[in-house]
Amino acid sequence: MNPRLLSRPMALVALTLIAGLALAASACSSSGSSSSTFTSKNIVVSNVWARESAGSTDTGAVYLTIENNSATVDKLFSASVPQSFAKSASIHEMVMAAGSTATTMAMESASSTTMGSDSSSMMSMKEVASVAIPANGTVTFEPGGYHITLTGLAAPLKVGQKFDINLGFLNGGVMKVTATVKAP
Amino acid sequence: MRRSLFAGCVLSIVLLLTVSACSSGSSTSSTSTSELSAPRGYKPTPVRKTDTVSLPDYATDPNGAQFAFKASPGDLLVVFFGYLTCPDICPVTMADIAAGLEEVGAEIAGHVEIAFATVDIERDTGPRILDYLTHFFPNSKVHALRATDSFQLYGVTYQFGAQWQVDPHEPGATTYGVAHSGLTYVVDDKGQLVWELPFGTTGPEVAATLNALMDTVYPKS
Repeated sequence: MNPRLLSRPMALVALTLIAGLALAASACSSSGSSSSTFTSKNIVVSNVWARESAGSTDTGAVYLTIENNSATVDKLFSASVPQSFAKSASIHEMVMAAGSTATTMAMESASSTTMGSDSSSMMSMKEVASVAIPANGTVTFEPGGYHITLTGLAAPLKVGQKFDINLGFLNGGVMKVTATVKAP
Repeated sequence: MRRSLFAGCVLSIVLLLTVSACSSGSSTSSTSTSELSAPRGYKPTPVRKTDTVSLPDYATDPNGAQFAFKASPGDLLVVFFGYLTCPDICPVTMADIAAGLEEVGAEIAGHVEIAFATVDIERDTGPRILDYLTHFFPNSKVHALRATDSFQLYGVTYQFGAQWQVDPHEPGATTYGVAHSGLTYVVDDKGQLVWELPFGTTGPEVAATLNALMDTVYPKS
């Protein structure tokens, strides 16, 4: 459409359209990246989410980003949820475990494949006592790394659902954060 | 006055439209990577046959019908060994495969079967595995596999080269550790293991791999 052919009202509409789009786009990006952040002293927690439960499974994982804005290292040492929500919440790390003799034999049968050491060993979850958050650093809990495991969920997690978790930091104190359930 | 009213109307419509586009966009944001992804993984050598082993499949029969590890003619069978209380690795892998099937399109996705075999036969039941698979793959042909005992399971995982280990625990315990290899296996319609995907293969990479495998395993001559 030739802009010169636009009548006055049409131009007004076009202008409004552009303004509207710009407004909406900015609103969109701000809501998309950082849904909500939680601050306690020098600790900022953001992007707290859990995956929707698959079928009747009663285990869940919570992922989040922890930012330490102080000049000293901090530690996340606890995570908890109400008993009525899930039987337990604990900080887990995915670790590579060496196979037992029997299972190592299975791998030897496939030893001609050029598997990296990462993929040839087993993955398991290890509960950790604490996670260090470096001074002026960020630690991201994400799939394949750290996560907060929820066991014995009273009800399956549904997309859009929100729930609270209490996080305990050595210097940052105890803070309540809200997780949002997302689709896979 | 009338003009501004009209403009206001247009503005609100545009806003509404964009907001709806926005919300639908955010749900797929995890897969918004570059359009062209490279296939990932490796072809195991020498060729390993997997149709020599089988497990009870609860997707086809509530009492478990023996399923030999072989795809239907022209299909690819994607196999993963995991467990249902697995908080991270298993759902991440299932979600990545599901995203890959979504991206690859109905034509190819219709020729991909998904098998999930539990390594935690004490806690997991056939119907619950089927429930789990249906959540991730509502439109796919699935195989909900559970061995009758660990001896049978070991025979299968040995053939695949997969590893698993259930931590010692009291009989009837509900919390115990389980370790397992995080590889995803692809089997063809001859019952041969044709590909292995490492843990962390993203949806777009799954799509690229399935595309490439369809071409190489079933060449159109």
